[in-house]
Amino acid sequence: MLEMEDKTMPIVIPGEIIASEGYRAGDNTLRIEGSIVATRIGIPRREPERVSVIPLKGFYMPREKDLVIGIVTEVTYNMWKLDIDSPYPGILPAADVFGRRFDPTKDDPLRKFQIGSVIKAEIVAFDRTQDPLLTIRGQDLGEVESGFLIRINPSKIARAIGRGGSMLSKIQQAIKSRIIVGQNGVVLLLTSDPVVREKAMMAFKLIEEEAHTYGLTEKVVDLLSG
Amino acid sequence: MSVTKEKPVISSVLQKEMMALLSQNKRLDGRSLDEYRKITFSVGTIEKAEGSALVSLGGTMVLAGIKVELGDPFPDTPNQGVLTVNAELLPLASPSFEPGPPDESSIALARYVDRSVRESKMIDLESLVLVPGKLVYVVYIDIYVLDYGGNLIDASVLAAVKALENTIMNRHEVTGDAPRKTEDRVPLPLKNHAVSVTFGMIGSKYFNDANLDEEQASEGFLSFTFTKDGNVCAVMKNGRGYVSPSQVLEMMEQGWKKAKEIGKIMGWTYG
Amino acid sequence: MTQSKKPLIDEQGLRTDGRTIDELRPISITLGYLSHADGSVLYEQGKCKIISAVFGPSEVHPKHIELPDRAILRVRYHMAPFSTEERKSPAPSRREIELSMVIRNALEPVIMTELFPRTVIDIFIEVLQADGGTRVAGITAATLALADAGIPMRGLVAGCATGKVGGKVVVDLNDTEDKEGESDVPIAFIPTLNKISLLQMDGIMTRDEFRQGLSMAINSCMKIYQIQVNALKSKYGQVEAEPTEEQ
Repeated sequence: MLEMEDKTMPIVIPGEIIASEGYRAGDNTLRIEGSIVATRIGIPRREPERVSVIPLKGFYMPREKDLVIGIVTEVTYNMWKLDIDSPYPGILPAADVFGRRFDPTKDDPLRKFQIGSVIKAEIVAFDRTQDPLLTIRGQDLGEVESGFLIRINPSKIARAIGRGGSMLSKIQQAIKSRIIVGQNGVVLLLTSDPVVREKAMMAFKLIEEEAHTYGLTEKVVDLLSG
Repeated sequence: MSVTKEKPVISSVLQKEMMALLSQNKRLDGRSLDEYRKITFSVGTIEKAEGSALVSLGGTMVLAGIKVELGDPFPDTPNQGVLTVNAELLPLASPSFEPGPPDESSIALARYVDRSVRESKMIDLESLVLVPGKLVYVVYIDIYVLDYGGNLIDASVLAAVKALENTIMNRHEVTGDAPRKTEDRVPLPLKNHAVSVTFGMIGSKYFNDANLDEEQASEGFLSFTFTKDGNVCAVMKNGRGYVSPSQVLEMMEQGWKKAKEIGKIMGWTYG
Repeated sequence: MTQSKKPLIDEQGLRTDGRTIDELRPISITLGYLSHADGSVLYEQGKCKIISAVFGPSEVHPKHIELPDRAILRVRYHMAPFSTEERKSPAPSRREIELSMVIRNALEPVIMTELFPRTVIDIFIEVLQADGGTRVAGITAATLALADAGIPMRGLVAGCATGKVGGKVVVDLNDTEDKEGESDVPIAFIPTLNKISLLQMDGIMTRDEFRQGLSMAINSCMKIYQIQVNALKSKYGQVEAEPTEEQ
């Protein structure tokens, strides 16, 4: 719960103290000698027992169960490596696609996905010692045959989806096209109409720039109907 | 391009022992925090060099060789001789040194020795000119690290200064355009000396003359070079750590105390 | 070296560029200067012009230099051939190699590299025009680029060089003062932690003068830190509070 009635909140910068004793240090903060400081530029968030910072700029750090959209950059005898716009490449094991009966001497991963293939996948596992493990077993996962990809700042994804998906459904309604949003900041527009694509890009750009303002949904709908 | 390197592996057991002792101001080898290992030196071991000195500091051994040759002055100092320092961390000195061109550590070492010698003004560079703007003496200081047991900086500065003190060069005469070597042999006149004192830092503790284990465990280093009158002519913080301003000043004063002791061991009047 | 005809400090106590002994050169900061780097800045301090850019964290190539428990930093401090009075060869000099290392050592303690094992953060400092104090200005700039890139840090680092010029201890040496003065003391300071992460000195000073130089340097770093904070806050601005009904 935000303490202020005042709508404006100054952003915090690395090293800036945002709380003292009595709080837990949440995302993008650090406890230094009893105080909690921000570690990135962003908006401070104070909850009853925890403070965190929502970064204004960020890169995607893989999280288990996230839906991500990636591009195949490497193919080996038993896996595909995907660029998921993260410091860590995603690994899709051949066994995930071919099943348990996967036989490297008979099944050729190159026949299934090639370099440049766009894949919707889910992160199965990620820890600091190995790259994120992906799966395409799940509803709506797998290769994307056509469409446009838009990249937005991963820290704005939540805003792009909106509470209960409200923002996203309003955009889809307005452009009459399906959109799939990867948690890694990659958005897939299932349309081949360049005009629709232009509109969608403008909408997402607006969301990126004004993610933190009031009345954003109305602005976006206005933009798309214009 | 400077790239973060792997820190050498120290056993956690050793690290714990070291930290526990440090918290009581003690060290693994029994020395007090400001105590140096035994310093020994010998001069003139390389006859073909104009000057040379070998310095041992515990398990660290550094040989400095001086060659004096004729050359061009730098364009911006036409009336001064040239001083140039190079350092080699020989692969035979440590299993962790690899052959190849000087890496950033050996370049930083050479440049620190250079600053220590040059800024102390121990060599009167203006007395090393034969033909102003055209022909001067070039003093080459080559630091050869033979055995790496920690604290290369202090050992190298001592070796360089001792070698310079030991340097005897042929005087040249210029007849017409050509320089001619005379039979006159003169020492390189030194107007000062330089002693560097380096501190290793772990947590809030600092200590002098880190041995190999301590150096590998240290988070950062701070070196001060003092001239014989207690002035500072070079300072360098090395390594990834950081230090508070008040500690810097404490270390400077402790450093001066040590410099006086070390100067005495080397046979110089310090303080 | 052209000997300047003006005294380093004149009878009014003013320096070659008219500044007083504790006056900084004017600083100008343009964040997000480049469009492809993850973070970038054009940093100007007096006549020094520096671009700093940050990329990462990203996958490491070649893989064998990655570290299992932290990100590695790759820092390149480099001066453009046209940045100095006399053209400088584009090949890295010994000085640039040493300075790349001391700058890396100055930034590494504040960057939370332990959050991104097995990755690399690339930090570039290109000096387009040099006029004294480029290594510390480079650190001030790199800190801004790192913050701009969203790299987590424990605090900001501000750098400044003080030194003895014309017999007096002064702050923020320009090139003439650096070359003709008696000593040069570059420092990088982290105000929120009260720690120094870069400290060098060359020249000659009494221990008292060094003490004075250190304290003046820290004051100057505090001023530069404030300028960094203002630049970051005004670029990213005040933001309206997170709207609750739409989230």
